[in-house]
Amino acid sequence: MTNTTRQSVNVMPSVDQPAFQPWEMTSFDSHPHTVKNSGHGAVVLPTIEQITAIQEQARQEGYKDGHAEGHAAGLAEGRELAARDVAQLHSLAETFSLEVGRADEAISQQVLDLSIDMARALLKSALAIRPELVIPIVREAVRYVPALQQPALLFLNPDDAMLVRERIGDELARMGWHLSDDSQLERGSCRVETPINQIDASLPTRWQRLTAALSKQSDWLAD
Amino acid sequence: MNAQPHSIRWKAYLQDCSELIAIAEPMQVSGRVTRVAGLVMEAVGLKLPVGSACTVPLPNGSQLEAVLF
Repeated sequence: MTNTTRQSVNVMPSVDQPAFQPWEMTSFDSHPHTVKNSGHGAVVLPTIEQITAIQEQARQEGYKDGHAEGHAAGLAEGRELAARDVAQLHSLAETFSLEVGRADEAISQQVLDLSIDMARALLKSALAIRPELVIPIVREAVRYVPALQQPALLFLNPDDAMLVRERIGDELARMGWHLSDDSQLERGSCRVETPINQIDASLPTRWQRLTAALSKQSDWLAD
Repeated sequence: MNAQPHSIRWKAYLQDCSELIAIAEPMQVSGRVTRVAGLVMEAVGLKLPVGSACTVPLPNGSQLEAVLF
């Protein structure tokens, strides 16, 4: 950029210049300036004690408001959490009670199952050791028949039949019973047949009916 | 937790079982149907209380249930 160009930019044209006049100092006397002092007289600056009191009051009010607000919010939140915990505990207690009830039932059933298994095992060994246990079975079956009609047949395992003949053969004969061998019957079983009724007192039938009374399905031949 | 309710429950269950065994009839007794008239059947050879249920085997292998009265 040349010097000529700078001058043309910075120098204002004479036509734009306003007319000038000499500056004279304005006299303060012609336009007296009034100062308003009325406001300054009412301002009383607080003392340190007052400021401290104001601070304390503000602090207390702030604490009070904050405490109330925080307390309410915390209480509501705490109640909500407590209600959730209570609901969970309630659910837990219900589930626990249900499970305890199921456990009671399961334990009772297992005790009953064990009793049935033990009874079967003991009965099998007892019959092997004391075959005369069939005699009360025969007596019970014979006693059940309401009216004795001929022919009255009493079927027993051949070994049991021999035993029963020895022990109560005469008694049965006097009552009109005829003993017959049935090799299909196992020891401890008996079957009664008359013209009007039939009694199945075989061991598997007696066992099945007793366990069925307990709502159990137990097979005599198991084990 | 008090264990008493559980033992009471177990005892009650096993007591019920004992009572069921006491009233159960281990022998299977069969009578003979002597007459059939409509829905009423007459049978002999059974010694059962009124209201007892019994089953009647049918020739086709099925069975029906009847109540004594």
